[in-house]
Amino acid sequence: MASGAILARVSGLSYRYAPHEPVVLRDISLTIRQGEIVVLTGPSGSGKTTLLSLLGMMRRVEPGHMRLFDTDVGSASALEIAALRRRVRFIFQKHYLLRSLTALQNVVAGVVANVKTDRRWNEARALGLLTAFELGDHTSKWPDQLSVGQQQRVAVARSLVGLPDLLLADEPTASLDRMSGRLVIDRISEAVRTTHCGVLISTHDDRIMDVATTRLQISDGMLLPATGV
Amino acid sequence: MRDLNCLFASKRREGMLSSDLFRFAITLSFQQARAKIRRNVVAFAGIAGGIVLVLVQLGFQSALYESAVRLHRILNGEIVVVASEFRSIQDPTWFSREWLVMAQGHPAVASVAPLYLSPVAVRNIDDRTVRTLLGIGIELDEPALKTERLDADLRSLRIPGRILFDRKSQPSYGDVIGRLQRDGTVEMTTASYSSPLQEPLTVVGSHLLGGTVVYFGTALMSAATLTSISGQPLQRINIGVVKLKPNANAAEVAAQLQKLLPEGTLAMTLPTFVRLEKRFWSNETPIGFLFDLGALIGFLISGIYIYQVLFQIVDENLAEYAVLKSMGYPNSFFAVLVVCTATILAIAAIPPAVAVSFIVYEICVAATLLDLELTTARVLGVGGLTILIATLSAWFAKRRLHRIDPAALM
Repeated sequence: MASGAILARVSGLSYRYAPHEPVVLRDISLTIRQGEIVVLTGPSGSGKTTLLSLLGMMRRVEPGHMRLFDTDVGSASALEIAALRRRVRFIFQKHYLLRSLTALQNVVAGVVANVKTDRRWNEARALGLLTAFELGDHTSKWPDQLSVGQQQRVAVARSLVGLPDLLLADEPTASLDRMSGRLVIDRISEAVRTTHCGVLISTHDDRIMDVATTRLQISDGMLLPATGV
Repeated sequence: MRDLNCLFASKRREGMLSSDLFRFAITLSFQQARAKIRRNVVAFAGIAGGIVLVLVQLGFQSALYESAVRLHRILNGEIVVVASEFRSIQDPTWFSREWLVMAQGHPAVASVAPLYLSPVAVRNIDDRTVRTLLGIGIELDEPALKTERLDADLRSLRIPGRILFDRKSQPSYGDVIGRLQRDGTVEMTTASYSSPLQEPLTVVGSHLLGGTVVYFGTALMSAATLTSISGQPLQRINIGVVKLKPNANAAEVAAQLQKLLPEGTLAMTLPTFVRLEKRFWSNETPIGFLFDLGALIGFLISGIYIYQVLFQIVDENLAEYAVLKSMGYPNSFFAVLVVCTATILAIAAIPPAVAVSFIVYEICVAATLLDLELTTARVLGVGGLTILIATLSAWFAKRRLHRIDPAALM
């Protein structure tokens, strides 16, 4: 199963938020390949979210420790970072939808910055995704008119609409009811099957464990050896 | 060299948004601005209020200038001769009538006519207070004014002491027009501080020239009547109006007359004369400066409110912008977003501002009888400048965009 091209490669990555603060991540090494669903577990405060935010280019890393799509993130220019970010999508614990955009417009926002998109294709695909997330009747609603579960499903649709190469998710089902959680997991694993993207999910959700191809455990900033499933 | 080209190409790619992304920026800025206006009507009213202030100030300024040149507009000729110390018709200067007659010697001149101007103190016919109006004296056989434009009947002015009163004058002289319509004539008297004599005046009709800011009204009469009231010899005229033969070039003839006439006189075309008067008001009185300042303050108020609203929109949506940035939106997208938002705020504020200005204009016209008119050109000019100021505000607010940081989302 672990035969796809390498999307992300982390080698010997350590991280602290500021020079005099404690080390959050110690000597992390991992790879994410096409078609892989890597599940990251660990107690809160162990560094899961920090690792995800570094892979999502939310924070800068030192050169030489992290490559995305064979580009060294630490030495990439701001412009290159923006280009890399267009190939990566992040599902946050909070939905972070744009309040002044409708559900449909929010989903379209996930693809419109990508190079060479077509407006009609974008909207058609966004509509299709919203329907797949059972939100077909809510496309023109504002985020504050939706329930928490519906908001999170819109956010997941937004992260999938642009056909990302790498999907990062920080406890995406934590705030969801059973039905919403099931939908989110099904759509993510479907995206992996059809587009061969790679996924890294931090979670405690057993249903996600079921679809995982690789399981990693993080403890006190250190990664325990990977176990295939 | 290749590196340089790459740098240049990448810079250009960063600067240009795809049409889809540009459209998205407009949609997002429009919807954010709409939501913001709904939540913060006061700030929006501030933007519109600033525009109202600009329109009202410019309207007053223009009305003032126009009222000052109303008399100029009906001079019956193409060239004007005045004394060289002349600055404004509010403060008449004189020169010898013979010099005007000399102008008749020029082959292109058809006729010349003198105009007499003098402030005349009269008593309010109702409460007897002393008020000053501008007396305009003309030769009835050779009127220096296009009297048909004044809807005035000159025939009755041949008898000394008869005047035509200004229908558009302010009511400070008493209800002259009302009484004129009822009785056919109205008796007025002059009021002189220096002489115990009061000249009787009989109002036998009306005209519609309108007053200025200095003189609330005017009275049209024969040159003989005016000079007898003011004590100014008929020989001293205030403005000489030169009518040219058809096809004559006014500018050329004015230059030739200037050489022909003795020192101490100025010959100029009518448009130059109008400009001279407007320049007097804008440069030599505080009025031009005050209205310019008022308009400037209006623009500043609009600009500051636009900046404030922009600032709030950016601050409130920092997390949302950070999400977009985490999805690889280029920095130029946010710059376009802020400029669009500022422009939309300005454009949205213009219609209500024009509506309010229109009402203010109507009130002012009723109160002052000045010609205030909300012209399309003024609305377009002020609208354009407001958008320019909005863009400037956006440029200042752009600095806030450095605070967009995806790390804040974690």
